[in-house]
Order: sequence, then C-alpha cells, then structure tokens
Amino acid sequence: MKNVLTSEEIEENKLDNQELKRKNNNKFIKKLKRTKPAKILRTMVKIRRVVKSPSFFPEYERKSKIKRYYENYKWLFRFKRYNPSYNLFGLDVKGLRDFDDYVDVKYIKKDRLIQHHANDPLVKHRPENITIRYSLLADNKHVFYAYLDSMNKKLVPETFLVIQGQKILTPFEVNNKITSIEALKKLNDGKYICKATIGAFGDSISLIEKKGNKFIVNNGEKTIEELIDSTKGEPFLIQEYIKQHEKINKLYPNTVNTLRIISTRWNENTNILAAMIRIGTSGKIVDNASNGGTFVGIDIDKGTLMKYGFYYDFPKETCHPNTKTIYENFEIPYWQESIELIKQLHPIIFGFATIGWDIAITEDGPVIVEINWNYSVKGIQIASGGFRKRWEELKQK
Amino acid sequence: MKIVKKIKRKLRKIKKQYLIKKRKKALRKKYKERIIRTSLNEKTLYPDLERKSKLRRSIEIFCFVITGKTGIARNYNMYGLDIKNFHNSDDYIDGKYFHNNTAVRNAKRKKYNYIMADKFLTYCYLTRINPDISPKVYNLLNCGKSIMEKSKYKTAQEIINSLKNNDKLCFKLAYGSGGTGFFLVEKENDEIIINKGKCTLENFYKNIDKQKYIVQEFIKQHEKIANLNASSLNTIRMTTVYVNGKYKYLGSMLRCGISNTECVDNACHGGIFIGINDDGTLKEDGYFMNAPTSKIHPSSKVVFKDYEIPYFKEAIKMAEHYHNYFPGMTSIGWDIAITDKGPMIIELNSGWATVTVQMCNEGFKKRIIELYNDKYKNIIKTLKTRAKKNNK
Repeated sequence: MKNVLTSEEIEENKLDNQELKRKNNNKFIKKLKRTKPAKILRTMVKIRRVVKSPSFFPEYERKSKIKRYYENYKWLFRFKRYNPSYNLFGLDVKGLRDFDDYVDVKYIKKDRLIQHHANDPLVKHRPENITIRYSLLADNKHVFYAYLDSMNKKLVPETFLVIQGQKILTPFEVNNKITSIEALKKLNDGKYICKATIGAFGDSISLIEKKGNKFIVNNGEKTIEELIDSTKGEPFLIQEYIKQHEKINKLYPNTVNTLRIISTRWNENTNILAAMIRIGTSGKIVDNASNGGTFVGIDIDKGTLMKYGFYYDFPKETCHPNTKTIYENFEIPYWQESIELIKQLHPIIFGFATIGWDIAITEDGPVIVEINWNYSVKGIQIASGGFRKRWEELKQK
Repeated sequence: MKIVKKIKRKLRKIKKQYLIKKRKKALRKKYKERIIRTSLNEKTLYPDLERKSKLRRSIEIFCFVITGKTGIARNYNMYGLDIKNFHNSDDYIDGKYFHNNTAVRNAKRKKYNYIMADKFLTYCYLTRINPDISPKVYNLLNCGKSIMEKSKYKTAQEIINSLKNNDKLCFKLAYGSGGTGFFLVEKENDEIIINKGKCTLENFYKNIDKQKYIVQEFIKQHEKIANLNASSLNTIRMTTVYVNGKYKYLGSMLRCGISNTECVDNACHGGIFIGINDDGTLKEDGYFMNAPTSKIHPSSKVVFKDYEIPYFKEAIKMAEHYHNYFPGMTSIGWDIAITDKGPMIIELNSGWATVTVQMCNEGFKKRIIELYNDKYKNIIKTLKTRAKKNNK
C-alpha cells in the first residue's frame, strides 16, 4: 500500500520546497560574502560611514574630508583593520591629538606574549603557551582570590560562600550538610555581591540585600531562587559589598567605581602606562562602559582626573549627569599607594607582560577586584590619549 | 612584472607544502617501522610462561599498527599480549584516544587543567577548599628569592641555615613531572644531606637559582605503607571519571621506591607498581618498567598478595568528592599519600599515563563499559573514525 498525500500535506510540501530554495539562495549569498572583494567593499562602506558621522569635539575646527579619508585608509593598511572609533579618539579635529600615537589591539598582541620571567624552562620551547596557561588566573576569580590570599595579607574583598546550584563548595564545614538557600539565610544582614567565577563585562554580577529572612536581588528584579536557577550549574561567589571612600562617593554613590590601571613589565621593570576611572550612571549596579557607564582619564603623575567624561555612543560631558560633580582636577585618594601596590604585585603574578588592574578604593586603602590580560585598548585611549610612543619607550628601558 | 613575481611566490609555496607532506609521510612510516622493530625485539616481563612464536607476534603487531592502535602496539610486551592464552588485547584502551575523547577536549573551555600544571596553584586552590587536605607550603622561591610576603625567610640559604637537627624539608620544581626537580633536605648531626647523599649542596643551589621552586613540609606516612619502603613517600595513583553527572572511581595502583637510597617512587625512576583490588588489598604481581615481574618487594621482602592498605575507602570517597571542584574535567589522576590521620592529596594530573595503570589492572575497558553503558558505543565510533584519519 502506498501512502496517499492529502491536499494539505501537498501544500506543506510546496512550502517546504520554497523554504529549501530560499535556504540554498542564502547559502550562495553567504559564500559570496566570504570572498575577498566583498570584504573590501564592506570595509569601504564602513569607512564612509565613519567619515560622514558627526564629530565629538564640535568646538574645534574639523579636518578636510580628503584628509579624513586618507587617515582612515592609512589605519587600514597599518593594522589590517578599519577604525570604528576614529571620531571618538578625536582624530578628526585639528590640533587636538596625534594620529601616530594611537594603536589597534593587533599592535599590542605580540608584545603581550613576551615573558618577564625568562628563566622558566618552558619559555624557550613555546612562549605563547605560558600566557594561555596562566590566563586561568585572570579568568577564574575563585582561583585568583585563593592565589592572592595565600601570598599576601588582605588585598582582596572577602568571600563568604561559593555555591554551585544547590550545593555549597566552600567553606568546608558547611559542605554537603545544608542547601545553598539555608546557608544564605545564616549570613548577617547587609549587602552582598554575587559573581560568576568566569564572567566579563559585568553581565553576571548582581546585588543582594538581606533583611532577616528576606532577600532583595537587583532592587527587586528577581527572587533568590530565580538567581540560583539562572546560573545553570556554574559555580558563583558571594562576596562582601565594598564600602568605597567618601570622596569617590561624591562622583556617584550607587555603584562601586573602579580604577582601571594598565601596567607593563619588560626587562624586570614595572611601569604604569595609562589609567582611567569608570563611573556608573543612573539605574545601574555596574560601572562597565559597555553597560552605559562613563569613563574619565587620570593624570598619572598628579593623580587627578582629566577634563571630560566619555561614553561609547553619547557626546562627552564635563560633569557627572546625576551628581553634577566637576571632573577636572578632582583628586583621587590613595593614588600613590595603589601604584606602589601594583609595583609590588606584578612581579608575583607570572605569565603576563601587561595587566589591566581593576582597583576599588576603600577608607583603609586600595583593594584589588579583578585583573585582565586581554583588556580592550579602546576606552583607555579615548579617555587619556594614545600611548604608542610611551609603549615603545617602556619596551626598550 | 609584479604578476610574474606573485606567480613565482605561489609556486614556491606549493612546492614547500608538497615537500613538507612528503617528509611527514616518510617520518610516519619510519615511526611505524620503529614501533614494530622495538616491540618485536623486547624481552618479556613473564620469563616463566610460554611465549608466542615470532611470526605470530609480528603479524599481531602489524595488525595493531594498521588499524591505528599504535598505543597498544608500542606496549605489546608490557600488557603481556606476547604470551599464549594469557591476556586479551580487547581489554586495553589506547591512552591517546582515551584522553582525546574524554579528558582534554571539555576541559579546554574552562581551563581547569591549567591548575594542575603549576604545583603552587593546586596548593592554593585545594587549601582554599579544605586547609588540611594537602601538605603545607612554607615558601615559594623564584630564582632563589622568596616571593611570599608572609614568610620569614627571604632566600633559599636562609631557609637551610634555619634548619634544626632531624628536620626534613622538600623542594619541588613547580612544573616538574615524573620525579624531576625533587630535593629532600635533611639535617643530621649538624650536617646537611640532600637526596640521601646523591646530590651536593653546590648542585642544589645551582638548580634552585635557575627556576621556580616550592618549599613543602615532609609527610610522615602510615606504618603499614612505610613497611614496604621507608625511604620514599609511596603514593596511590587513583583515577576518577565523569559519568552521567557523577564522578566515579575507575582504577588505582600503588607506587613504591625500590632501594633505601631512592627518594622518589615514580616508575621511570625504577620504582615498582602494584594494582589494587576494589576492597583495598594489593594484587599478586608487582611490575617494573623494563624488568620481569616479581611477587615480593625486592628490598623489604614483603609479599604483595592480600596486603591491606589502610584508609582506602576514604581515599576513594575523597577523590570522588573533590572531583566536583573541577567542572569540565572528565578524568583526573590523583596522587594520594596515606598518613596516620587519613588520606592526603599531593598532586593532580590531567593527562595521566594510562599505560602503567592498565598494566597492573589488566586493562580497564570492561570497567568503562560497565560505567558508561550505551554511551561507550559513541566513544568507540569516534575512536574508529579518528583511527582512519590518522592512517591516511
């Protein structure tokens, strides 16, 4: 017996055929998109878009259109990649910033892998593998806090619990006896911060407020059970909420505003390359720039803020939108201490030639929140200017 | 003219690639030939039993090489396949494929296998979980200078000058494997002895001034295990595997040093290794890397059969429990020492040697089939496809 198709099924088959044809067409287009001339066309369109978009520094005189095209194509041939943040860098304006002083991430990538502990036997065979091997230290916060705790005195925020789903990983005394919610109820009242062990850009960070047996997560967005479900079985830390210095509270009190300081280490000399502070804006828990925060450059010698606060997609400002504090000449407390701390710690952390440090400042001094080895160069170059010349100076010192 | 240059460049590239391919093919052929030759000419580990004829052995080894099981062909004599009516080749797994399919691939995403490469990182991570689980590290030395801010002593010389009589300390290379870069320092009658007199003080300082070392406490092992060989720390190599959301015990062996002058128990330093039953007693035979088997320990004359190991069940529980802290790792090799209070973790290994564990446990393919049930069929499928690719 042969199966006889009904009219509905025949129509469905027709629809399927149409979809198949569409898919095949899509495949052809995808192949076309991967070819070299298509890629070149796409970058040309993108560069045109960059040149046509308005300037971020309207008070200065703008360069001519031909020169802007010329500089954009120069960047393309120098780093094999077009520059989407040409206007943000302030390169489209006369007499403000130097074009040759700016770099792409590709420029830094090779120098990142040069080792500062040359006596390691593995360096001779495969120097690249060492940074990748130690990248666990920077990526996994549980391991990083354990490493620094065993080396030094208190430099990192205290972790109370490490939770994986319904299980508790640390501390060991509570292990396997009670569920994670029961353990959370045993903590003292107050604010806590919850982080995934592996996470970036502030996606996985949430704030927990505890009052008696009630929990408020992210100002009432979720319940505590939903938070535990959303981690999908990956371990996460519960830490103390850092109480920051009063002076930094003047900038914005609702988030922990961290300093981002970049240090380099070649030929056994640690130096500081550039620095900025990241400040949260209204209605956010995190200060990351990709989540809508502002960032302001820091003068390294004086320890004071620069003139402008920048965004990725809005025009710049001279004061904070919510608190209206003026950035220029704003002094940062414990600046010298935090630089000395970095100079102490960089030789101890193996494998990285450059590190981007995230440092929060409390009443007692600086505290290390996180380190990054593959930090982005975009934000810090917008805030505090290009660093190509200084980079090459430090390399030869 | 530019076009001509470009074409020339391309032609050169193609020529280079062709030459590289040819060279690789020749190397692979040589490698296979060498395997067949060496495993044919090796001596047996069982001189008392009857051996297969040379023709049959050569055919079997040739078959293993052709089907891509070079791991079994290389260890043909070690697994005891060269003897009549003895061991079955289907019980053994090729170690390379085992790790490719289970351990490393999943771990790379989460990078937990990089903890095991550095001994100081493992110590930090484990003591964070439970402070009594692994031996204490007093200091971390980089090129002879201390990095830890907590510690009193700043150089290697200060540490050794501060030793009192009858004190013992271990110096370990942070990336060392297979027993390399290990120094046992003792002080007896105001004299410092290193590695039982095998190494001088000058050599010791030369090694330590070059690389990264950790300074660890010396562990007193349980009397029953010290009876086998007192001079070295005899450890259990235990293996655990991830099965359907749980971590389970796969197999284990005990490693001992042979003589009184040896401080290390590793097999490549001439140590003896013995398989362990599930109830915690030793198996009959003790194995060496390149020597015939024996049923008695060569120096202490202890009979292996039914010799009990203390705290063995606790050790299994501990390994299965602590595997939870390494999500993504599907198999770990644990080095566990046994003290008077209980088991202690000394080292972790991500790509552990499957050869020695399989030798003394007569292969663990059956055990893996028991644990995985249907899932194992998928693993075998991928193994076969990989073998075909490798042969091409």
